[in-house]
Amino acid sequence: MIFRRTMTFPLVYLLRRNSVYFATIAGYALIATPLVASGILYGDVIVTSGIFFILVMGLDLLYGYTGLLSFGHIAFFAIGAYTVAVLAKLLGLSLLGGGLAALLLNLMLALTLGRILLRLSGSYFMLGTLAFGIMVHAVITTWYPVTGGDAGLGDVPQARMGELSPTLSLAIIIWGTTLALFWLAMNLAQSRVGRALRAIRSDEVSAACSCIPVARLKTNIFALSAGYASVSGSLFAAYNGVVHPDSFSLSALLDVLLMLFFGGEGTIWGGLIGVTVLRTLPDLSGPLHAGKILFSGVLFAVIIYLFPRGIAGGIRRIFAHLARRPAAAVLDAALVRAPAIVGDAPVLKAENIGQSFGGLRAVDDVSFSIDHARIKSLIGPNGAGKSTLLNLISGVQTLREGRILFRGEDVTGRRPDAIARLGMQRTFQHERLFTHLSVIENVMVGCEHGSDGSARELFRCALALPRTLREEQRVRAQAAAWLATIGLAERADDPVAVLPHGLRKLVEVARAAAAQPSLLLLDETAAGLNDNEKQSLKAFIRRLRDAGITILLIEHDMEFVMDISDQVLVVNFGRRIAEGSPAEVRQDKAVLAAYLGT
Amino acid sequence: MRALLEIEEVWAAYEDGAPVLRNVSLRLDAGELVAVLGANGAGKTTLLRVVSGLLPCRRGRVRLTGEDIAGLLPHRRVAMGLVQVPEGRQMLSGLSVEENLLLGGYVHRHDASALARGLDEVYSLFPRLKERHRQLAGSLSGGEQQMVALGRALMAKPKLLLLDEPSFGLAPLVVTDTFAIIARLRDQGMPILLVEQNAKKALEVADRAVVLRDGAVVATGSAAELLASDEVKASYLGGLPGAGG
Amino acid sequence: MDQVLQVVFTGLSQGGIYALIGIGFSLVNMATRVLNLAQGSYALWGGFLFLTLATSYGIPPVAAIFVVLALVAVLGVATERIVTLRVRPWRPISHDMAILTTLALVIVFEGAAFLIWGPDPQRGPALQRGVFSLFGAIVVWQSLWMFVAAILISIGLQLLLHRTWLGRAMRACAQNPLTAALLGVDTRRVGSAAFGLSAMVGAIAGILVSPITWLDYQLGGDFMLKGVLAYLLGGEEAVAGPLVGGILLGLVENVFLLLPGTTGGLLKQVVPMGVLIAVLVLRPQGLLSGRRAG
Repeated sequence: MIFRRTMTFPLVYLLRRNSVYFATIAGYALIATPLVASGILYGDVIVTSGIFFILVMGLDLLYGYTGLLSFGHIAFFAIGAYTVAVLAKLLGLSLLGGGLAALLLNLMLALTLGRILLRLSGSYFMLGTLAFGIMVHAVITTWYPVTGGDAGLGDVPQARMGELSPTLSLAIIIWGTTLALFWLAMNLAQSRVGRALRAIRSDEVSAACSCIPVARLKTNIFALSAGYASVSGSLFAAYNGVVHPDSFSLSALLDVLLMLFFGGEGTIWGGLIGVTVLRTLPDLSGPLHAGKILFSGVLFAVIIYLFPRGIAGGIRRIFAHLARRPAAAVLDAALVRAPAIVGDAPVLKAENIGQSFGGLRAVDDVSFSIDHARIKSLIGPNGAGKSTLLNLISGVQTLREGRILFRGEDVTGRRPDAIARLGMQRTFQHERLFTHLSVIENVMVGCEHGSDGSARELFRCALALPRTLREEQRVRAQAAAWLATIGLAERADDPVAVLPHGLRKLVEVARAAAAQPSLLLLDETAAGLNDNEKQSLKAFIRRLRDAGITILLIEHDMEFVMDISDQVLVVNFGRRIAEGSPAEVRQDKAVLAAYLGT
Repeated sequence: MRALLEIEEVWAAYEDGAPVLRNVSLRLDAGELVAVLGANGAGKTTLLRVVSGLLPCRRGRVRLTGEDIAGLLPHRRVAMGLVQVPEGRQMLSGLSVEENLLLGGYVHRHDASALARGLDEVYSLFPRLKERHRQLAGSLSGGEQQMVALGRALMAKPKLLLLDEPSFGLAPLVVTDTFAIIARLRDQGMPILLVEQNAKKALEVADRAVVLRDGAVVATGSAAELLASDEVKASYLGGLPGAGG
Repeated sequence: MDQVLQVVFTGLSQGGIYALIGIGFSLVNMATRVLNLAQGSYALWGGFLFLTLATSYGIPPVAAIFVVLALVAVLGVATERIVTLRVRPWRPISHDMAILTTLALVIVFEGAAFLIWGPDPQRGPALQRGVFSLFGAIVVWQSLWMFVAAILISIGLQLLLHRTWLGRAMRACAQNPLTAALLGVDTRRVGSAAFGLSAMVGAIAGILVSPITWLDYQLGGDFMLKGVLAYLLGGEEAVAGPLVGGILLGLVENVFLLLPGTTGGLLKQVVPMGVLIAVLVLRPQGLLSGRRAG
């Protein structure tokens, strides 16, 4: 499988990739200028929009991309604002000094809190962050000596840029910061980190098996998001000149969430729309002030129901058809690199594996091994424990009984993403593609091994360094080549949902194979495929084996199994009942009994 | 004579798009046991979900004794006598055996004496359940859970029984017992729609059968015909001895 | 010593209020797996409606209670309808959307309360005025009622869950809603009943606390947080859990009042939230073990 390489100059690629960024800025300027000139939109709405846009961007990265809804983000915003005010009062620090101190404080807080809270699932995470938010609000309101309690603090330092007036200086600082942070956020969102985040939102388990260190990435993005909130808060304090607890209450939280959802979560740029429209509303609804709270609540409920993806979501859907790019060029390298062989030792060795669920013995003292570049099939009646076995091997379920040696290394008890990085990839019985990513993006996650989730990688991707961009193009081309191999080149930009079941399973195999694994675990990949598709699948699997990949597959189709396997392992009631070549297993009495019930 | 259950040209899909059932038609007459066979992912469980109302059909009709039940929510269908024993038996594990059985008779809850009689009948059919009637359903063995599942269904006084893979995850001996009970129900005149992966067991007890593949019907006929046919053998007995593979 | 006893009694009675709201959370979560943030709002509205009926309309308090319960039950059922608007057996509830919807409703209830009753805090009439002395501490009759109501309602609900068909249906839905549907349970009706009941229980809390606490339109969120903490602290037993959790919370909170100065006030606000986080992380199943849904 040799292809030719074509590559675009990084800057051109960057401009093309971030056309949305420039379009947003241009569009905003185009619409806002006449509105400001004619007095409908006030200058200060524009400026405060910048402040809140930063906050909403941070929230979007956290929720729109990663799926974590933090009700407490207003707390980081509050700390950002109050730290600047308090440090100015106590130490006379300037806006810059106070802002940096606030940022540091918030990052540390987020990293600690994140480590604790991010282990919680959905609703509980929301509650935990809400509790944090209330706590901070309570501290602000009652810690009179430092924060001024109910009265708040004044005299927040102003910024000055050379000869310009404080107002103009601040406006420039705010919008400069906003544009810069917008740039960083968009780059991040479109990079491998963005894909990894959306993978986490789609399916955490599947993401982990695609080499993504879920907990670490969540913590880092939580911290980044808090950082955005911090900067936003500091600028907010500087702009208003005072800080007061009312700006950081539950209502304020709701306003921000409303901006996020109204504009469109999951887009980054949607936030700008949401922020501007909702900042304008209070001015438009003057006499309605008494009903403003009620109005926001109703609006929020309506948005959640009718337009969960917001305005940006609607715009995106319209442009989806136009934005479809042809599957990119082909790559100048063998598609599959034969993985390094580690001596004569079996690639996988399972020793006395066991697992119980309550009183049920799902897997009972199973031992087996698979040699390099062999195809071994795992068969058994429904409910025999096959998928559980695969889950234990891949780390999805923690192994507590027995040992697994992968390429000579003891991987017992390791996390699934660690095992994946060592070279093990898998598919799932009920296919688990990333629904928030397109077809080609799914395969790209496989190629690039997700993201290592480190702060360094976040920086590199946010800054969109040339090397990162070249890498991205290479990965995209590689993924396109994989899609071409399975005949899905034209469906590259399709959302996963529109593909029929059989094709989705094929994409899942491609995603796993694209990660260049040493061992590939396939869970009922042939289920639901017609005869032709099964033949193609068999050929594909054989090709992978010939390239040096070891394969363990679970299958119900006996013909398929007998045809393709070098070895067959039969289990029933969690126990190994037979093992050997297809011919041997066919004759085995215990196997007959298990299947035919004699 | 009007069929008891009529599934006409049904197309169904899950929320996210691709069709799982394609133009499936099937009829079941009073007193019949019809088996639905096919490999994993063929759409068998989906078919039962559509019949029970857990999944809507995009196109086509489902009729019970001539009445279109397409719009009805699951609990209404149960009240009409359409009762399903779901795949894996789905015990209410935190509740006792007796509570599970009682909930089986939920649609008749206002008739206390009928429920009491129903409970007696189930206990006489499954004496083991009477012994363990206070035990938590989640702590029972597979075979005992199977008894609870069937007993629950019987408590609802079904006019048509839908069985989803009764052999799933059970020991061969238990499977034999289960099918003996199914045969007995059939002999008593209970119409049954049986979804099964174990083709041999299913065809031994069925009158007619239908084979699904990729959500479409690929073969239909009497149980005897299908037992002899190569199509069925190939699709999933193939390769194993005793099936001519 | 008297002071300690005083604090204990106050803690028990406030705990009763938290317990009631927590039980509301528990009922709804059992039947529908939804965490209904608007739970606190039912308490707020219960209190406000009660004081309006009793003072502005002069309706005798006992009759007013029944009217309030009926009205609030409607609010509860309306909440359920809104939250499950698009839900079907094949389209299960999205937890994110559900919780956000209830958050929106919290604000809607708050806004409506502001419009109807204005920004100023108000107080309702006590069901039983006066105080009595117990072991040297002074107990307000109303406080005793708060505690007793929590106990009585808990017992009542426990009976409901285990002896009535509705209760059995709710427990079935808590285990496995799809299976319950296959057994003939109308899961939507059960959900509505759970929401309605929980709203009523919350309203009782609001009615009882209205003469003691100054009600203002923003209190919905506060009630909600305390209630949720009671629910989570207590554990998996549907009724006994929040009861224990609520009382514990009431006692812990009031203990801080024994501390001098503003420290006490500060801690009283901060510690419960810290405890909430600790519970979520360390023992999400709560203090009592049992079988909780979701």
